[in-house]
Amino acid sequence: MKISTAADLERLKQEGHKQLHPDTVRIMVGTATCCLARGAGKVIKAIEREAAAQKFACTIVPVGCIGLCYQEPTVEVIQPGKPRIAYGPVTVDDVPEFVKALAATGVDKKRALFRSEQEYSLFAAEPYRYAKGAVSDEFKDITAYSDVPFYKKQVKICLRNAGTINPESIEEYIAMGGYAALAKAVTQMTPDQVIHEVTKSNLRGRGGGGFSTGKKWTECRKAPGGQRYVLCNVSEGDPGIGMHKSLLESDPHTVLEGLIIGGYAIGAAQGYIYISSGYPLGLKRLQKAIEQAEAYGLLGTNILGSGFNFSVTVKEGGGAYVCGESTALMAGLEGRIGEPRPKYIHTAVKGLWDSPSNLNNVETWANVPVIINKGADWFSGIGTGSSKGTKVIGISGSVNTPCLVEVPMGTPFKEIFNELGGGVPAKRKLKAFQTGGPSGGVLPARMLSLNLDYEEMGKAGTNLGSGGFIAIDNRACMVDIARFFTQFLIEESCGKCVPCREGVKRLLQLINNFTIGIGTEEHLTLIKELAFAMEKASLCDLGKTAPSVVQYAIKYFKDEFEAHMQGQCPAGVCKDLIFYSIESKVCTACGACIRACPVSAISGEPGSTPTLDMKKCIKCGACKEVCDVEAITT
Amino acid sequence: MDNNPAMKTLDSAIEKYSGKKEALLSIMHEIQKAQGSISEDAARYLSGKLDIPVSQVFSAATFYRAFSTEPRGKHHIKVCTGTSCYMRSSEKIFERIGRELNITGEGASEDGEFSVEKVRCMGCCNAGPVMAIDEQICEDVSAGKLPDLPKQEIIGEMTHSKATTVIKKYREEK
Repeated sequence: MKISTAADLERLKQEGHKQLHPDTVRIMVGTATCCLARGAGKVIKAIEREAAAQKFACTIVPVGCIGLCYQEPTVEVIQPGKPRIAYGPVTVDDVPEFVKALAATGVDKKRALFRSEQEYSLFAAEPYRYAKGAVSDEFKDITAYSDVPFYKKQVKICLRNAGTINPESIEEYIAMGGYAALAKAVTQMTPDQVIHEVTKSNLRGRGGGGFSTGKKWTECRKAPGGQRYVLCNVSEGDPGIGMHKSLLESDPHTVLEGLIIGGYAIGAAQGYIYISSGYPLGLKRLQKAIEQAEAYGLLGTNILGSGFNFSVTVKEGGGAYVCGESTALMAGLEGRIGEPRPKYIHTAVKGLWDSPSNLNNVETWANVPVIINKGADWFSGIGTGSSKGTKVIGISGSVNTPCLVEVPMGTPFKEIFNELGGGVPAKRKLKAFQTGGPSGGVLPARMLSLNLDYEEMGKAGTNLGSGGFIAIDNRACMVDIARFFTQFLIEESCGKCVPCREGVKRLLQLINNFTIGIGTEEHLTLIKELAFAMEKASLCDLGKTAPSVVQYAIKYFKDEFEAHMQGQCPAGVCKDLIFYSIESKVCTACGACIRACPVSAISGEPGSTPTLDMKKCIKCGACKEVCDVEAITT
Repeated sequence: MDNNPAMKTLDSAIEKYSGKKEALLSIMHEIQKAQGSISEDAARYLSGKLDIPVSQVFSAATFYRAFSTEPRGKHHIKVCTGTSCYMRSSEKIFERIGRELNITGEGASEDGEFSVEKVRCMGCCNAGPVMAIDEQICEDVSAGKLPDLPKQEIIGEMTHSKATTVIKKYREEK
């Protein structure tokens, strides 16, 4: 069936509603990559098996990520006429008891996390209510969604459907108000009006640069030439980040809808989605989404009877960090290696195959349908003076509750870290936090007082990047962190321009002086000079920002560099500067270190403190890791 | 040459993308998946069929991380060294695996059973440090626990303990 009018879309909406709110029990299991790593795939099979065995009628639906990564595998259950309840963690071993409880009383209180009375919806005039009437007593002791601190701080725009809909069902996406924005744009608005709305909303690129999306679109639309392209970047190579992947795996249609609207506004008939290699699930779900949209005529010729033609092709990249750079990405799309070119002429004028091209990242595109649907004023009502809307943030590293959240711009990092990330684990202290990946910066813990805002972060010397927040605790050595990011950039520098290709190598050499204890003040000065040259002379942002982590590490953690000059690594990380020893006062003689040592450097009799042979020791740290009482010191 | 089964996979990959030059990366992905590497023969064959210089194929094969010119082992192990996993000592896991399997740095073991590679972020930062054996992700690994047959389950049918058993068995046989 092709959708050619708004009435068709409405009909499909009803169909989706039936899937979303069936007459039977709907069991929704989170199945983004992170959930699958925690065993969600097996949980689905176990529930299927158990439900059949106990003759419990239900539909099991794979959904996206609800963000509670530390509670995975998470399962949500909707029983007709009852509130929707989230459970976690539900492991394979829990399933028999879980299904039994559901079948008997309709709720498993032991594993319940929170209940929702109504569906989270940005578009519905009246959100769907799961339970009719007042909350019945049996659910009162389960926390209400509106009272969960984790969700109180959040505003979900891009992730509005994540965890609610089946990412592989276009009907469910439509039921949640999907493709209404596309219908509005192509039937009621001119391309200029669409661009005007996006410009007015003050949406800025979510890939890191933070350039005004509306301005970018205008430049591309006005550029001379016939054929033009809209492109989507799913090539976040930043280590330590999984948000965009999760967004794509949870709700591919919102990205697709944004891209089609962008194509209409800019006047492009062809869109490309460049997806980095190593995202097999995202790729699969995206391809499925495209097939579905094509089948319904939301992609193809004469979309919704407007005369607008548009098609989308997905291309799998080769996994190179530099391909996040626009010109390198376009080279990759053309089948060449991802080397950037100078951008005296913007890609908006001369991009893919020398045609005007507009590139935005996944999250930026995901915002577009909401802006068109709810209006620019609604969108710009969220956020701060110059940073509007929300940002998806992946919180990981040394935190109690690693998670995926979407918060309004302007949220203080303190709240993000303490209330969403759950603070630092016991016995450790937060030393620093890292945002923006290898081209961002490391900031000391005291700077958690910063707000999530493009300008404020820029002033502090970091950037938002694509939105990873990595907490670094006192066990990490900042010199080693600087070395780690520089090593990463050596591997990822494309090698085209000299300042970057040679610069990162010399930078690592200078840092290595510190990790082996022969660094001096003079080396710090050299790093500064080298950084200046790289920033000024590199071809693309990878090279320009390459020294930034190192520079901020020196700026904020100079004491650690000074300690290394004295031949000490306070955190006990830099191998050349540490020697392990076993504290007999603390040691409980459990023997764990003896078993863990891969080179048999530790020996001893039961009941006495083992001895360590430093000649054999390879400083792998396995003993330190298994020691429960921290008797192994450096 | 066309009757060679290896070349047949190349032909079907090329055909899938109608022999378009710009589909080079997509074609190479197919070949990498089917053959485990982009060999010199494959690169030359592609260059002829797509009418592009062999240097372009070779540059793509060496530039992008997804491709390798050296054959991979029967079991391919990927250790995540993204920031989050690195902070949780993934480098030590990499070293440990190398020691267990007698592989220096990245590459394959002599008998071609195993190969190991460092990768950047598999998107499971919350479950780190992670590694993957034949695309099966093992979460929360640690160098100390590695030889102790940890209990955690991993995606699909393969378990963590099974993964380490594979390694153990291999060592015993040796």
